[in-house]
Amino acid sequence: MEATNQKTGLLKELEQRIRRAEHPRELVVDVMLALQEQYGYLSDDALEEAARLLGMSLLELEELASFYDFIYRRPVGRFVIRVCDSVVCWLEEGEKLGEHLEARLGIRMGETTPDGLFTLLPVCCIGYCDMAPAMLVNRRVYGNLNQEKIDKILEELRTGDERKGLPR
Amino acid sequence: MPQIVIDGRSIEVASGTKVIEAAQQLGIYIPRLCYHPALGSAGACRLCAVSFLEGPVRGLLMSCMVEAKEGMVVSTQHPDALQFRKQIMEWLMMNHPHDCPVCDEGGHCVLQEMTVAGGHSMRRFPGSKRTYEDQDLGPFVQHEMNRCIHCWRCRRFYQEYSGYKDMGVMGLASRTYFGRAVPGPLESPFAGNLIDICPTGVFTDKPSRFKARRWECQRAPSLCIHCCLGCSIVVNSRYREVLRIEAGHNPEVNGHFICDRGRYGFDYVNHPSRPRWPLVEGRACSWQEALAYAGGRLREIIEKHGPSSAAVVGSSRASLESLGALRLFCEKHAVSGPFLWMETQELKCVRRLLQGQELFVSMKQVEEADTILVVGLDPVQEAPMLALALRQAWRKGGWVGVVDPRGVELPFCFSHWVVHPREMGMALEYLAGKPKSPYEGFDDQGFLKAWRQALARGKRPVMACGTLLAKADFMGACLELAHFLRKEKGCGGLFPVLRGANSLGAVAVSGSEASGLEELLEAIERGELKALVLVETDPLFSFWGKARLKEGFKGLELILVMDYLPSGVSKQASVVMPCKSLFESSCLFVNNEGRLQEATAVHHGGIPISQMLEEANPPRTFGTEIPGGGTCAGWEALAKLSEAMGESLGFSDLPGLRNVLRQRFGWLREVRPGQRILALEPEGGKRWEEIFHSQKEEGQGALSLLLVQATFGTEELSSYSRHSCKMEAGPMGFLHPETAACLGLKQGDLVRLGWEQGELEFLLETKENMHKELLVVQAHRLLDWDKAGRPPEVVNSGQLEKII
Ligand code: SF4
Ligand code: SF4
Ligand code: FES
Ligand code: FES
Repeated sequence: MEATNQKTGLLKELEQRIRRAEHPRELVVDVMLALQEQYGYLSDDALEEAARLLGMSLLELEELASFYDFIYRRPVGRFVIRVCDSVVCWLEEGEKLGEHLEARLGIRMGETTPDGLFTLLPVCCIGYCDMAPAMLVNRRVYGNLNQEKIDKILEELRTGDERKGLPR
Repeated sequence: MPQIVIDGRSIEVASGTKVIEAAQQLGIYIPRLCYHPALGSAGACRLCAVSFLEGPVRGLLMSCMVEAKEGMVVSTQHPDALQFRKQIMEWLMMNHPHDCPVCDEGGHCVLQEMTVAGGHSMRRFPGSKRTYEDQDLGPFVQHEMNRCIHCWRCRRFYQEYSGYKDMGVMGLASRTYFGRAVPGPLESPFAGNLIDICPTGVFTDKPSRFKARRWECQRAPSLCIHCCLGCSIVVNSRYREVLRIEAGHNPEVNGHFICDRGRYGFDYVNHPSRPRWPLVEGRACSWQEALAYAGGRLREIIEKHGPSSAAVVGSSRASLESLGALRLFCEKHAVSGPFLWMETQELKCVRRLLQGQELFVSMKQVEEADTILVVGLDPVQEAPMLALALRQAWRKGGWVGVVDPRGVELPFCFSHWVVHPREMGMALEYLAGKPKSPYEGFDDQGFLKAWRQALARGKRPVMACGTLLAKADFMGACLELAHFLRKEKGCGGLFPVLRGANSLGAVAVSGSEASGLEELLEAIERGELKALVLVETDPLFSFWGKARLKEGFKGLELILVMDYLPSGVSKQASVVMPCKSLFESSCLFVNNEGRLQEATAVHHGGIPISQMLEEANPPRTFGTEIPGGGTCAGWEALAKLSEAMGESLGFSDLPGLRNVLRQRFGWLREVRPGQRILALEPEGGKRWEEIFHSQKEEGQGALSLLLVQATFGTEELSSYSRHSCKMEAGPMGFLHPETAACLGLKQGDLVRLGWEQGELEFLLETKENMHKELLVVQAHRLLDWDKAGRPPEVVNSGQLEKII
């Protein structure tokens, strides 16, 4: 019941924003992110909803959703770990960190742990080259990484209060 | 105007010209995959690299992305450029399947050509290839995504050029996918162009899939006659079967593209029940026998009842040669006709329009206009390629306003003034500056003011007008407004959309006394007519008085049909003479803007071998004739008939006929195919006077019934095509949602419209942007729409009821 209320509340809010916008298409990424926030990922239903709200075709939405890295068209874990996969981090041996994470979590890049806690993804330079090697967990950045640090972060995420403070 | 040197040759080009285009003007073809003259540059394939030796930029650059600038010296053959292009080809082939032999594009594939030209013949890449799932995209277009090289041509055409939104590009990097969000038929009526435009085998022609390689086909340029625009096409035939149509390039008319009606309507020429031998009273016989019989009967009838007891009928789908021969035949034998029009009203409209012929513009000029009025016309349904031309004008910043009562849809933003058909003439007069203000409620939303401003702003106005909803007074108003714009702006034009491929040809050969089939029908009903010769026409398909005509046929002594269609009227005929279609004999047509165009013969024709396989192949009976190939062009059959009646029409072959026609019709004398006829003069073309404006005619709750065209399902020739029938939506009717609600109807209902003459059933669609006092029904081939009587008809809302 509460979920339905939340949902209709969100839709109302989005409809209002779209009505006010001069060019509704400009809001397309915002709308998709908002729906993703709601559903956990941008499901087919959510994509259709977005298309309906914006008066765009399903294909136009899919073009953007499938291009834009931070839109998930499939379910992801509670924590999405994006390991930087670009040149400065490579110089700082960032590639090894990816492998380390894969080993620790027992999954490959692009996969989600069976408990639904972690999804592992490579990402292009996130602009924290000064703290290379770096990674993002949900929206928080972790820099100057090494294996020990990563183990500690994973442990905190699994157990600690970190969970609350990490918006997706 | 920069001067540029390419491969040691110098050329001056218009500023803004890309180097790849400048080279083309010199006759130098730089390899390319993503560049296309209609779509412009994308810089996606990197194949057009050339070396810039001197000038503002140096080094290896993409010739499609660099504008020609003064002082540039370019080499297309520099070793760096050659090496680079060779490398690009190898990269492009890295993920490409190794199976050109089983790819339907093989033989006319740009990628294949470029690979061979680049000398890439040995694979070095050992890895596994990127693969995709294919989608079912409907009956026309086959999808094979593994062949994609990511040139973006398809998406640029589908979305940017033509404005449809259900096909595009998804994903990124090596996952980039060109297709639909979910599998399903492509929604655009221009989707078939994907096949021509994709430089690889991703999009191929589904109906002709795996039937032939390009080099095995007989190919020739021809014309599309599925509407009045006369787009250029290229026809591919093999083993006496027309397999596939491609778009032809005609810069003045259709540019590079055609619509799907034009691409898939051709299959009528392969129809298994097409007449292939002369038939007398249902019995196959030789031409001599049929001619002797029909000629003899006709002569008898004329001797007994006088020449006016026989009439000849043609139509606007017949070639200029057939129409001309019909006229000559009438004159020679003093018989009635030729009747070339289903309705006198239509003839009047076209005659009226011709009075403004000096204003006529080409489709190219429509594309270049900045202010366009579309009046009484639904482009996508009536003349599809016009919609694409309008979109190009809009893309350049042009403004488009539509005056039409129907729920017109176009692939771009336009202003739509929904006006009842009876008031359209009035709306135009006000736009042309008529001072009196319209009656109250006529223009609640202030269109007049806004549109007058738009027209005042425009520098190159064009008006496109239809004839389907028109009364002669409306045509008058169109001309008045077009003249007004011409006077105000010093330029501006008129783009008429007519009902037949050769409507202008038909009006030009019609005598001053010509009339529509109504008069013929009346003469039949009065018992004055005994014999009817119908050439390339089927009134039982397109005439509103089909049922009455059928009844009237019973009183006739002779019905002779000459046609290439297994038409309805040929089933009523006592004699049938099989004709050649335009793919089988060269012929001329005059398109809607008065352009004389020639279709060249593609093949001799005959029963397709694919249809003879059950019989026996090779055939068991031997002869020198092509099976089913003994057909005559319409004009040829008429000439033979005349001879059988003892009188020659004065020609024996095509050049002879064309000579006779040139002498007979002054307007034909000076023009060559491809040129516009500047003064098409209908004989004794007296001015058609203005007719009254009717105001409100009918009482409360009455709806005007409009019978309209649809892209698929209403046009005669394509109705016989197995391919285009697959895209028909079935008979549809349209109401405004409020009107529908008042009647207790809603979108998707199966609705019955009933009155004494019978009933019509159609699927209801509601449209917000149509007139509320209107019921719009498609004149669909599956609907006995003639039961609606002679249009315009008024129906009472009580006559509408929901079935399911
Ligand atoms: S499908 Fe064809 S046209 Fe489209 S990007 Fe791929 S190769 Fe180019
Ligand atoms: S627009 Fe008309 S002439 Fe052109 S391809 Fe389509 S049907 Fe044929
Ligand atoms: S390269 Fe890793 S953050 Fe910039
Ligand atoms: S044609 Fe220039 S990059 Fe493709």
